[in-house]
Amino acid sequence: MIVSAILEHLEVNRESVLVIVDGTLVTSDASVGDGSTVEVRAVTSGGAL
Amino acid sequence: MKCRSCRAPAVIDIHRHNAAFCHPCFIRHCREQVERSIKSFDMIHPGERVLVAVSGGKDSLALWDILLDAGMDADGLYVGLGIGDYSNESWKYARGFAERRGAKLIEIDLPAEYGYDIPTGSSAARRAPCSACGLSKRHLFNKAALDGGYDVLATGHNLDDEAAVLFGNVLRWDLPYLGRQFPALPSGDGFARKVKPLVRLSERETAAYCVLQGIDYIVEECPMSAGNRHLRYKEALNDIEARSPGSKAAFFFGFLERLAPLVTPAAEEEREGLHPCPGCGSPTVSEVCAFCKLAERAGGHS
Repeated sequence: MIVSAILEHLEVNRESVLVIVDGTLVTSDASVGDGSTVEVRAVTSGGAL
Repeated sequence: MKCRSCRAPAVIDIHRHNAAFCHPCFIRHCREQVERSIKSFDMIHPGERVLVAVSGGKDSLALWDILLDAGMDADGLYVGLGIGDYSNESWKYARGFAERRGAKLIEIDLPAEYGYDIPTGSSAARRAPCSACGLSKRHLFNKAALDGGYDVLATGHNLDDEAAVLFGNVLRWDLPYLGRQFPALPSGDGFARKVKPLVRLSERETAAYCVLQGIDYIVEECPMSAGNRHLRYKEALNDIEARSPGSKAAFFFGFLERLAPLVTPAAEEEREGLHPCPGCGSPTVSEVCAFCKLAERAGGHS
């Protein structure tokens, strides 16, 4: 499955996350194989400014 | 995807630049964006001492890393806010980074040194937690920079932060706030010079920088910020950005170029009424400064 399709499926805005597959940062067109570990890491912080 | 610069396999795509980068070229891109901000807004001059406000999060640690790699004399400043486990954890990340880089970290413990924590201060002063936190941090950052004789105080505000703050200020047409929203504010009248060298990088880029550089940072969000207004503004802007890449940068930099010069007088007017707070000596337009009022209401001291 392609990373961008995973994000669409999860209804996650691509601007608000990084995708890390098996410990490696990947682009939105990367293909994710069966058995891979996928981390969708939120990057939005909203504390005091 | 291939790297825009060298055609090697890319590790990150940045839609507003319509570009992707490999690891080394992305790190170079981040450093160049910071260098460009420092030069274009006249933020830091060669040989100056910089105090970097660090939270243990991605932005401030990325900033500190970039400034150190640029050969700057940059110390860190961490303020422990007494937000339970979150503060304990974030403190560890700030210390861990300082130790790894062999850099100096100044530490201030708000509950131990000022007698209150953010949850208590927020409820006692009937302020939103982020408001009490921001007020406390701004006061302590400024004081530490002046007391330590630093030339400049650098914070990790990124493009998303600045666009969201601008969005909020525009929604309220808050002219004094708009007039102060500039990436570099000069020193004077009891204020240290304040700069935001990450304004040309999104928070997705600062997070990617940390991941690629192996910088451990606190990934969890502050529990007290959940659902706050600032996060809602960011979400709205990210929705626009996803459909129209480059919108956030155009919004913020368009403001700086076209509107900021018109609203700066509103902030200058406010600055004319400043005088030293009788409690702590910090500049204020009120009889007693907001930090002293907060500390007193929370049962602490300034």
